[in-house]
Amino acid sequence: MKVETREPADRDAKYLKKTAVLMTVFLTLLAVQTFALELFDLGYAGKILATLAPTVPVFCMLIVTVKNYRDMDEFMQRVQGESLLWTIGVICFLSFGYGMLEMVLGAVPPIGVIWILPTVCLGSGLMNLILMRRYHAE
Amino acid sequence: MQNKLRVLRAEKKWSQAELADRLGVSRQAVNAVETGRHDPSLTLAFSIADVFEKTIEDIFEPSSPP
Repeated sequence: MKVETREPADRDAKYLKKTAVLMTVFLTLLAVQTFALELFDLGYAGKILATLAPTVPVFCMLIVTVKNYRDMDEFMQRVQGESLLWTIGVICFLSFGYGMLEMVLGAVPPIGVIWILPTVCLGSGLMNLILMRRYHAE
Repeated sequence: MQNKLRVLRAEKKWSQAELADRLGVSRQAVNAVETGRHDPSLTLAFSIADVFEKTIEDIFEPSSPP
């Protein structure tokens, strides 16, 4: 009975290729967005469309990441799952604490929600490294 | 769970990477199973037994008696 997973090296290469393509599309759309907002009078709806255009490849990246996770072997799924759980837990804990400070103290520096995605990505990557060391699986 | 994976692998003169290729999993997964840090699923346990041409019970045993 063969384990139904793609060869890890093939899987990684395909994932990296898709990530590279989506990142290129994202950066292109970001540049187009910047120029469009600066140079043209887009109107309200146009501004919304131009602003949200770069989020499309980001959403596609989510789909690619989930597919990559499904193709991983059971151990790598365990490590990825645990690292994501820790990352989300820590972010929730910190934002909850910060929210309570905001309620009580009133004037705390505002933190834009745009930082959630990069924080989750970075946190998850760091937790991955920590857990791989923990499982002596480097 | 204890296992004889390292011994069996050494008998075949396979590296962890080679065994991982044969099983279709990552080298890290093989290392984790060998060192007892990860208990394989039934599917993976069957694959390991298949690759070494042994039964699951020949390769894996519980850490403490049931």
